[in-house]
Amino acid sequence: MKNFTTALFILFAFVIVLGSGCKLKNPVEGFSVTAKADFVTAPSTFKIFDISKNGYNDALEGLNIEITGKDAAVVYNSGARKLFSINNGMINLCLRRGTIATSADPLEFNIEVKADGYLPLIYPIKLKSIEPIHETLYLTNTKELPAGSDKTKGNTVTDSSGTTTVIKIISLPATEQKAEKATIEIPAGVKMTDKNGTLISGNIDIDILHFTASTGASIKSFGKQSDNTILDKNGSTLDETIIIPAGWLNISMYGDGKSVKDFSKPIKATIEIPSNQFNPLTGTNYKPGDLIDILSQDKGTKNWVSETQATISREATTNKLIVEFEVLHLSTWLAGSMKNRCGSLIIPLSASFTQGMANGTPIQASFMVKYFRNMLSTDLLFEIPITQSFFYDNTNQNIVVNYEGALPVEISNGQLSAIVNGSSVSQTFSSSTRATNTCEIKITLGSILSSSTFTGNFRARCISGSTDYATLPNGSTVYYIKETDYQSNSKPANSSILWSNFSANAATASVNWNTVSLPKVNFSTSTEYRFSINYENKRYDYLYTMPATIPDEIIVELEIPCN
Amino acid sequence: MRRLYFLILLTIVLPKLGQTKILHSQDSLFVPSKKSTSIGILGTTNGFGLQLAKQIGNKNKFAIKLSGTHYLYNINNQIVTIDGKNIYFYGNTLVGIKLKVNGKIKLGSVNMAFDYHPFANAFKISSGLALLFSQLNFIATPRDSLKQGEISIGPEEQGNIYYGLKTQLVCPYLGIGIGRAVPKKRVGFNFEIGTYYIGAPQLSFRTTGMLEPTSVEERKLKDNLRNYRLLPILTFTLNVRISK
Repeated sequence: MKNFTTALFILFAFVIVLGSGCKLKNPVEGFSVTAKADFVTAPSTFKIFDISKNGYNDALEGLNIEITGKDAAVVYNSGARKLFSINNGMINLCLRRGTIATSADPLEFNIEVKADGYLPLIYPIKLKSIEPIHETLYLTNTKELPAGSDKTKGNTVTDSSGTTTVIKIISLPATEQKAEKATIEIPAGVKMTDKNGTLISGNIDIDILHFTASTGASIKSFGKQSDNTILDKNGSTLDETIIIPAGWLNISMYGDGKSVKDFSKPIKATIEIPSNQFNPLTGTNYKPGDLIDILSQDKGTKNWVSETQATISREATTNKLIVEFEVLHLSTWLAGSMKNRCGSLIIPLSASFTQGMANGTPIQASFMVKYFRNMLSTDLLFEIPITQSFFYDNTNQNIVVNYEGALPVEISNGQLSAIVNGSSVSQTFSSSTRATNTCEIKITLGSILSSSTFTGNFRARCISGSTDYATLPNGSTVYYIKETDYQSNSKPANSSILWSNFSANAATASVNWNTVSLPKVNFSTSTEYRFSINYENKRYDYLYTMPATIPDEIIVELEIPCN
Repeated sequence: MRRLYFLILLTIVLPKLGQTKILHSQDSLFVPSKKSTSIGILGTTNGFGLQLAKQIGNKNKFAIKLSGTHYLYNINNQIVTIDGKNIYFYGNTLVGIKLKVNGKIKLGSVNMAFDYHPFANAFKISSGLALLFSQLNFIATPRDSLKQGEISIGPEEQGNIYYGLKTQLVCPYLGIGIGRAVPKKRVGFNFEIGTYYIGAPQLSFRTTGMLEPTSVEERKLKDNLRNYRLLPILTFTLNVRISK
């Protein structure tokens, strides 16, 4: 018995191992780990645009650029490397995986482009979310300046103590290229020093670029303004402020192998203001007595510093508007107006459009935002098509378009559409008043353009009995559904919500037609519809194919047995 | 993973529970007298615990056992190499990713079983039911950084693989062994080999972050476990008879 017991035990174990153990797989057999390769995200593109060529200059191809600023560390190229260059006329930038940007903690960095023959460009980027952006960088070709700008060279001499001994006036006259003139006047007795405070003596070469606001091309040279790039004299940021330039001078002086940075006493600059330059602070063109802001920007920085204000006057000899201001150090000096930046434009909706529209109704809007050189100019700088979905806010009765900037803008070629009570309503508009001092654009929307309708004629033809037609009672419910929906939903009963319906009007005794007006938007062309009625407790269906163009009238003839 | 592999060895067919009819007290074979009781300590492959046993009848052929076991095993920073498997990463195929595994193996059960000594000797057949609480949960994280270009993504940014495995709650048990649950002498030793029928193991598998594409492996893992329906168990018991 003992042997038998042992044998049984061994047999039991044997069955366990062989009977099923051999069928088992390693639990991780064939298991592999796959990792996503998204080391970078938000691939953004920046087109390079040579203002003078009105397009891309192939000579810039392959040029290396720099990314600077507080968050430059998270910016990579699409290959997750720190090598940035212009390829196919574009700069492609990405952000490191896991980067976060919010309105409260935006991501900030700069694209710096330094190309021979071009003004250095510092293009600020501020991201409030990790979304790809696609923008254009405008480069100013110094060998071929854009219309509305000009350049000149001059020189002066300082003595062994680094002091000018004569008055030197350098002018950039009005030309066909540039309608406004500019002048700098270096008085005698000015000591010139470099950034380290070292006196510069001997011959001083002077380069001046003058940009006016009289052309869109010239204004593009001004570059992009970010909402934190304007400082007061104490270095504090002037938030939500933007500059609308009237003209600016880019002044450089070199001597003894050094760049002049500071003067012991100011030199004088005079620039003409375009005759039609709009003063955004007064709402009219600049005129004598208007105050204008004077700002400076050091080379190699993106920040503008508000230096002072100057008063516009009229030059007696030319009868042109001019502004004179003192230049205390070398950099770019600008005359223009600072104003609050619009973060968005508010477009009020007219009551006629919103009548019957429930709060939260989705509104489709498409329009063009046009940016102009100034309030009165027809010189279009940028044009941005916008297609967005909004939700109707019946408290404020408006839609809000997010946009940044304070250049005069208008909205045109617009269309708003919504579905109200099952019907499509839409409005179009051609243009708005220019946005200037406010961030609100008024648009005259006009009246509701209800979608057009077609007439549906319904009758019941008798397939038995003594009469040709049966008259449907007034108010009979006629149901319809797309045939494809009918088939794909297992042929639902016509009481199902998948069907639409309407009430047929009373038929006239003479023609036996029940008629109804139906909105065209509810039907698709070249599509088969199933119409259905319930007559004397029986259902009758009719298939109708809507033609390629929805006609103004259709005939639906249901066949029913009659007595 | 290998621990799991060793844990879940397939063994045996379902027990025929109809045998339990022998427990009916009105059965003329058994006279409810001279019943003895024992307590014991258990060491099993499903944890450690205590057992209470009572002899049924006076022919030393039957006994009923109630036992409970528990054991918790922590997995701390175990490095697992996915040997010979492909790691697809940015168009390259790497082999042998190392995963750092942290988790717990919780073993435990409450068992009620009947011992039958068909030959009136120490050999026994044991059958019963268990509430099985055993489960395994771990998080696997890549041990090393991944690098693309000039970006290095640390393990903490790569994501995790969450793996969980448990059995059905109520599991039949069948086993054979040597020794009596209620020893003839004061102290007795038992050895038993058996298996629970655990049904198809319930797998939970989830991946996060950059490892999300690995979630497609769930089907493969489930397929691998498809035949793991029996959980074998070895039991050693030291019993002390506490009454006659």
